[in-house]
This record gives sequence, C-alpha cells and structure tokens, in this order.
Amino acid sequence: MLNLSNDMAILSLIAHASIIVKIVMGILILASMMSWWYIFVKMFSVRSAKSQAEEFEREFWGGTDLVGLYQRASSGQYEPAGMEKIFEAGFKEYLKLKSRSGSDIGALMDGTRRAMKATFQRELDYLESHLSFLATVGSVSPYIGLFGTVWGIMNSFRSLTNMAQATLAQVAPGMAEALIATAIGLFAAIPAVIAYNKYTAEIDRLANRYESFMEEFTNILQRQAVH
Amino acid sequence: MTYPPPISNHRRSPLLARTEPGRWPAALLAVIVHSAFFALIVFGVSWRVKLPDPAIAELWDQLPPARNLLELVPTPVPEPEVVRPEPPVVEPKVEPKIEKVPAQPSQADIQLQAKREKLEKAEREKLLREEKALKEKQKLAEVEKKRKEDELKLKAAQKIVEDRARAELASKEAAAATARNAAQADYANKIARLIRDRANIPDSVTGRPEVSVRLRLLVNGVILDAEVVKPSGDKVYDDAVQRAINGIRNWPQPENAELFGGRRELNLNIRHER
Repeated sequence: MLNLSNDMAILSLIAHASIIVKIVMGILILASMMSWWYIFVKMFSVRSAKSQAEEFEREFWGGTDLVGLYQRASSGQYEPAGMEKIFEAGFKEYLKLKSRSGSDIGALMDGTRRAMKATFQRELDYLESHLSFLATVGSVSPYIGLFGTVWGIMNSFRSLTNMAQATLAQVAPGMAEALIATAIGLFAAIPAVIAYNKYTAEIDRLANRYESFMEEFTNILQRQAVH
Repeated sequence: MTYPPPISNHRRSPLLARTEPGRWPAALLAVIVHSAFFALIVFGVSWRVKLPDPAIAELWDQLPPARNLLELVPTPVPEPEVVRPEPPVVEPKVEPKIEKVPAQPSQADIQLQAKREKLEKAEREKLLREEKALKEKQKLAEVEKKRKEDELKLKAAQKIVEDRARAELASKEAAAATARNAAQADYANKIARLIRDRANIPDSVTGRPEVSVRLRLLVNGVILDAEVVKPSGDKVYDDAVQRAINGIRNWPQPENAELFGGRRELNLNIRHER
C-alpha cells in the first residue's frame, strides 16, 4: 500500500497492462491521432472554402464582368475552388451550348444547371471527405476503450482466484490500468463527435450558399440568353 | 449578344482527387495535442498520488526570545580598549631645555643652585609622572570595572531570558506530557470499555475479578495483538475476556497516533463490574 505512488505512475500502468489492453490502447491512440489530424485538416479546408466563397461573392456581386471572371478562373494560373469552380463550370457549359446554333433557351439553361450541379456535388464531396471517419471514431472508440477496460478488469479479478485473502490493493492497479483504455477512448471520441457536428453544420451552410449562388447565377445567365 | 468563345482546354480531370491544404501543419498540431494530453495525464496522476503525504508542523505561539536579546546586547562591550594613554613620550623633550638655562652664569653657587633646581625639578616631574600614571591606572581600573559590571549585567539579563525560555519550554513540555498522558489514559479507557462491552460474562462469575491485559500497538496506533498477562484467578472470566479480545476485529485508532510514537505496549486492567 505504501509504494502505491510508484505503482500508479501512468507509464508503469500502461507498461504493466496485458497485451490485449495494450493493443486496444494502440488502436485508440492511432484513431485519436487520425481523427485529430482530420480535425485540423478539415479546419483548414473549411475555413479556406468559406473565405474563398466570401471573396468570390464579393467580386461577383461587385459588378465585375462575367467574362473577365471566367477568363481569370479558367486561365490556369491557379486552381479555382468552391463557388468559383461552380461558376466556371456553369459558364463554360453556357458558352459551349450558346456557340452551338439552334439550341433553345430551355435546353441551354438545363445544360448549364446540370454542369453546375455536377461541380457542386464534387465540391461537396471534397468538403465532406473524412467526416465519416470522425463520425466513426466518435461513436466506436468509447466501445473499444470499454472493451479494453472490461478485459483488463476481468484479468485483474482472475488473478485474485489464487489469493487466500483478497484485498482491494491487489485489484486496484489492474483496474486503474484497465480504465486508462476507457480514458483514451473517450479522449478520442469526444473531440471527434464535436468536430463532426461542427463541420457538418458548417458544410451544410456552405452548400446552401453554393446552391443559392447557383440559382442566382442561372437567373443571370437566362436573362443574358434571352437578350 | 456575342461572347468571344474563350474556352480553355488546359484543365486536369475534375475527377482527380484534390489534396486538402495544410496536411502537414495538421499532422503537427495533432501530435502536439496528443503530447499535451499525455503530459496532462502524467502530471495529473502523479500529482494526485503525492497529495496524501503526511506533513508534520510545529506551531509556536511566539518565537523563542533568548537568541534575539543575546544578539542585541553585546555591542557596547569592546569600548574600554580605546583609552590608551602615552605620556612618557612628551617628557624627555623638556629636560634638555632646562640644562641650557644654568649655563649662562659662570659661578659655582649658581651652578650648585642650578643643580639643585634641576634635581628638584626632576623630582617634581617624577612625582607628577607618578601621579599621572596612578591616575591612568585608576582610569583603566574604572573602565575595567565598568566593563565587568556591564558584563555581569548582561549575563544576568541573559540568564533571566534563558531561565524564562527554559521555564516556558518546561511548562510546555509538562503540558504536552499531561495532554499525552490524558490522551493515552483516554484511549486505554476506550479500549477497556470496548473489551468490557464485548465480553460475554457468564452469570457464574461472582465477585469482582480483575484481569490484566497487554495490548501491543503498532507505530500508527493500530493494535497488533492483545493477551492476558495476569489472570484474575477466575478462569471463566479470563476466558471470556480473551474471547472478547479475539473477537474484536476493528480496534479503535487513537485520535492522535503520534501520542503513541513508536511501538508501544498498553497495559489494561479490566475488572468485572455488574
């Protein structure tokens, strides 16, 4: 009981854990690493998508010439993303269909909208990539940790069978080391769930923004096609 | 309206997977988060475990005064050394001057008188010198006396302070000892009462048998074992007490385990009271 402080040091607890518990801890730490990596990656990409959308909307509604915008986007000097990419795809399709004679306005607008829709889907897919991993880690890693804990506690109780006099001191280290698995599982799960919810909401809002831009842009193109 | 057809054809395939920006910073941040979490766990666990270390502190009502006074008083002592007279240096200078004066008249009388005067003067000067020396001596003696007196006074003051401190310490120790004795007696009574309560004395026991029990205590006041040392003579009563002692699993711990510093034995007399 007196050397409890030595036995309870976290490193020795981890080192003394049984192999199954160690594997569980390894899986969980890996999952946690990956999920935090994705959390930060998503943080950067969602933030940049937002700022790009804002910038493009400001330019688009600021009265800039549509052709100029298109030429800049398709110049290849940089990779357009998000809203600009949707605009580029739609305008490209519009110009293609318009240069072909004999197409009516309905077909022209349908083609343009389809092109924009496809790019929109692709953009959304890009933004939502890895989110499912965060959801999985958030929902599964507590169970993995719990499994490690149950296994560890089971073992520490099994070691009591040969003891004539069972005391709490004999089970305590085993339980503590088993509970570390749950702690790691929770550490992996909580940020993953929070990040998943946050990014899903943010991407939803971005998608709404893209969609309304698409509608407005379609209207503008239709007005131009009629004239 | 006509647009120039600026359809460019430089594009890569739209199906090509795009890599997200900031993959390496993100990986670095993830590693930082994990190491911070690990440090937190290590720190938290080790911190929690270190807490129950017992700490012993002595509380003093006031600081011991003895040392303070001793440091303050001795400063005036070294004064007497400063007064050091040096009169003999001045006198030899006067003598040659006097020898010059009688050289002027060439008569024997005058010479004789001058010699006498010289002698007289020398004597007077000697007397004066002696007187001066005596005075110096007296002065020195006085200074010495004063110094001794001061020393005595200081010693007396120190003694008073020391006595007071010693008395205080003694009274404190006595108070602590009485408190300890009282606590020990209290604890012994508690144990005795517990044994008496637990003992199931058959009705066949008559009179007031008394049995001596010796308890062995561990350092922290936990009772290691207990045995009957001096039987009362009534075997039934002794057995009942022994059974009671054997039956007690949870011995009460003394409120202050330090009172029984170290391993101690506790002798109890348990008398049958009905």
